[in-house]
Amino acid sequence: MVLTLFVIFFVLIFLGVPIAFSLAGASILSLFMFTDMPMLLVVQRMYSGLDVFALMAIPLFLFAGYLMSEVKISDKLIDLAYVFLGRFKGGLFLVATGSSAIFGAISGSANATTAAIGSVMIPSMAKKGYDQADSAAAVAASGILGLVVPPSITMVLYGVVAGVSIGNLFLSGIVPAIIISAGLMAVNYFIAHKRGYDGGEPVPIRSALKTFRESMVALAMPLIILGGIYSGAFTPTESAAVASLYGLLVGFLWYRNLTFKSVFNVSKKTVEVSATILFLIATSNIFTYILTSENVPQGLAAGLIGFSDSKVVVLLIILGMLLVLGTFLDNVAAVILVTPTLMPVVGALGIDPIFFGVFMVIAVAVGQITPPVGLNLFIATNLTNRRFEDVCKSTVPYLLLYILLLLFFIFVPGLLSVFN
Amino acid sequence: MYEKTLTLLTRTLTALSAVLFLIMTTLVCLQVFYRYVLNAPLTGSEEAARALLIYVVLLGAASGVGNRSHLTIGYFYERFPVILRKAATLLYFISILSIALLFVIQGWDLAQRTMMQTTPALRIPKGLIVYAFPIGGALMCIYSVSLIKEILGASNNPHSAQNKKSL
Repeated sequence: MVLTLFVIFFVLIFLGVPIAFSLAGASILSLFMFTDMPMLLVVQRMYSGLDVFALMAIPLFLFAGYLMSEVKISDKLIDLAYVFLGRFKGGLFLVATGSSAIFGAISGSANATTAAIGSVMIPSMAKKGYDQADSAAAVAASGILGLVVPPSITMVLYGVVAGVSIGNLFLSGIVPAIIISAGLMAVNYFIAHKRGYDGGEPVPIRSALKTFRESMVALAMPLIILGGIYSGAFTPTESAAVASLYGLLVGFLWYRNLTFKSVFNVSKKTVEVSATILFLIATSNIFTYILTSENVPQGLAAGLIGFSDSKVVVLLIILGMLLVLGTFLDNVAAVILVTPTLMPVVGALGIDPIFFGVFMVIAVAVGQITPPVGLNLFIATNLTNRRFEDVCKSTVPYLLLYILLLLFFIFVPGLLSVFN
Repeated sequence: MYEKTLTLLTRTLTALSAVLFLIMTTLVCLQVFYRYVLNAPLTGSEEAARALLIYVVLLGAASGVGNRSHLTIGYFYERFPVILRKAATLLYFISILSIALLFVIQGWDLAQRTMMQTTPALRIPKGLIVYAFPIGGALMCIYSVSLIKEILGASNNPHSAQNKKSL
């Protein structure tokens, strides 16, 4: 039954049937062929999969992030990063990484971060004579920070599916985000040094202060989100709603560039993107129901542990698998499918589920900058006049950095669960 | 004519789900406001927001069939020869139609059965929320029909990995 389930599922997705419908189709067909369970079960499982308050955080964080993009907060954050980083060698690369990290604290998505930062940074890098393929690679690789820096859509998903605290996941994302940012900046600096990109003039203190003042309102948002969750004042969903409200207030009252029409358009975009994600969660709930009732996760756990009972070895195998999955499967789909299957392994080996969540979120996020379907690469390439292949080539050093850091995290797991 | 009606339907659906979403957001904000500022926690807000979310997802997923915004692995599909592409689209059509029909039939059944159950806080029949499934399923059926034209007609289509909305 399980074999049939997987064969149908993979045939369907590779033939271009949407992942959500492939999951549902494969599950329904297997249930129909091998069991006499009533089909009412399908709707019941989907209903219970969706009827979860924590899931609401996904559309709400997307909404808050899109609102902040709409009011052009990204420009202010780029200016802010420039004040600190612009003067160094390869300054604009460093600014791209720095501003992506800050923007990631407002947005929970890697693609939204790449689009917001790239649309400003790539043209200004071109003006400075930076190689366009290198620029796109730097922006795409930095965009991953959108998923590592809290809030993060994939962390919410992992939290819901694995049943662990989303607040703890968010907080545990901070340390790896800082390490990754530092690593990205080191690679940026190295590439800039090789190509001879000099830094810009230091920003005069007066305009630096002005920039700081203008970006303050944006910087308050992550404080509201994390402070609210950490102090126990809000649930993650509530903090996302409050962040959206804050975004509306900032847009209407402070920057005054938001209109009712643009808010409505932003909510339409939010609904369109989040409905497909949440529908995928709903259909995956039937799929994982079959997997669990057939004891697949337990079997996989037994197999992996039979192979080796060392945490490090098992995590290395899992990392390889996640990286391969990430190349062709979207982050959201990868987290939804892998989490329920791997949780028994994690439990049996005594791996901290918070560590594992942050680790998995980073590992599948790397798929955003690998061909053939790295969406960050596509977004960044579209902002340049270069070919996709050139940008892929320039991305290699960043890709190596991510893989090295993930290996490092396996050996120093405490870094991903500092607040636990 | 058919296409025009479909565009109108999509617009109405997107607008409707955007409105439902905004109501949901307001409810969650009100919940926080009532708890901290007025010190009088709202009882039904979370339940209502969850019900709205289910409608938003099913309506949004239905219009997602129409504008092909569901997450897809388009990499292999784009490299298929035309005839295989058409066969794949036919498969896409069949799977969506059968799943949508299952939503309509079984969803309707479940809704009828759960009409007697009431939700704990708001005391509304649970079946009213379950109706999102037959409604969403019916809309998906309507949208899946638009795929037939693609199977019979022109070979070029908007099915590519680049324009997929995703995270």
